[in-house]
Amino acid sequence: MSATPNSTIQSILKELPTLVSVAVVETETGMPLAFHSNVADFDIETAAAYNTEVVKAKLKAISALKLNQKIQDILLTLTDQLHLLKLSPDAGKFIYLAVNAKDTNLAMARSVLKNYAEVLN
Amino acid sequence: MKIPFLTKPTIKKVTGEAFGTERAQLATLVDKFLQELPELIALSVVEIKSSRMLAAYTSQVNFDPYKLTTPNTKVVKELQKALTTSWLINQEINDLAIVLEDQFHIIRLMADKRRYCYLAVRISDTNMAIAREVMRTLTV
Repeated sequence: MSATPNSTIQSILKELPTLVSVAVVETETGMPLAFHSNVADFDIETAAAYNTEVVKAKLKAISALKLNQKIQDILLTLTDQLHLLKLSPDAGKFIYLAVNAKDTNLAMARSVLKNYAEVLN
Repeated sequence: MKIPFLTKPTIKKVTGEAFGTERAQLATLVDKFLQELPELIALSVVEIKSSRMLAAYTSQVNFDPYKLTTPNTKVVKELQKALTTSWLINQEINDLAIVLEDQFHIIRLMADKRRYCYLAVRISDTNMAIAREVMRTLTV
C-alpha cells in the first residue's frame, strides 16, 4: 500500500481536523508537494524551506558522527504549538505537521505521522 | 563489599572554550546532568551567534560533540529564522528532539537565548519525557 502526497494530506486532515498546517515536502529540493493549512497567513514556501534545512543539518550531524542510524522523528516544541517532521522510508520526502499543543499531544501527533510516513512515496 | 573499579565514578573531563565564572557554571551544569542522567552519551553548550563550543562532555570516544556544533547551530538558526514568519509570531522555541533508532538528541535554548544546550541519550537508558524535563529544569 502506498499513498500519494495529496491523499496523505487528506487522510491526516481527517484524523487531526484542528491541525495548524501539514505538508509533504521533497527533501532534496525543499519544495512542497502538497499542503493544507488552517491559518490564513501560512506561508508554505518558507516553512518547507526552513524545515528542509533542519532535516538536512540533522542528516549531516548523523553522518559526521558515522552513527548509521535513521532519523525517526524530529519534534519541535514551541510556546503553544508542536511541530513534527517525519521522513519517508527512503528519506526522499518528509511530512511536516504543526498542531496546537492544547488540541493534540505529542504522542497522538507522532503516531498519526508514523502511519502515513511509512506508506508515503 | 566495595570493588574499587566498579564503584569508582569515571571522571571525564569537561572541555570547551568558556572561561572564568561561565566555565565554572557550565561545569556545574554538566555535573547536575550527570547526576540526573548518569548514562548520557554526550552533552554540550554552544554559543549560537559564533557557534563556539563553550562546554562539552562525552562518554564515548567515537561520539565527538565538536563535530556537531556546525550542523546543530545551523538547525537553531534556521528555526529562529522560521519563527520570524508572520504565522509563527509570538512563538518561541521550547525544545527540539530528534529521535533516532536507539538514541535521541535534544536541543534546548538556555534561558539567556544566547546559548543552546545539546543532549544525546540512549533510548534504552531513559525516556524522552524524563530527559526533556531534566533539560527544562536544568537549563534555566
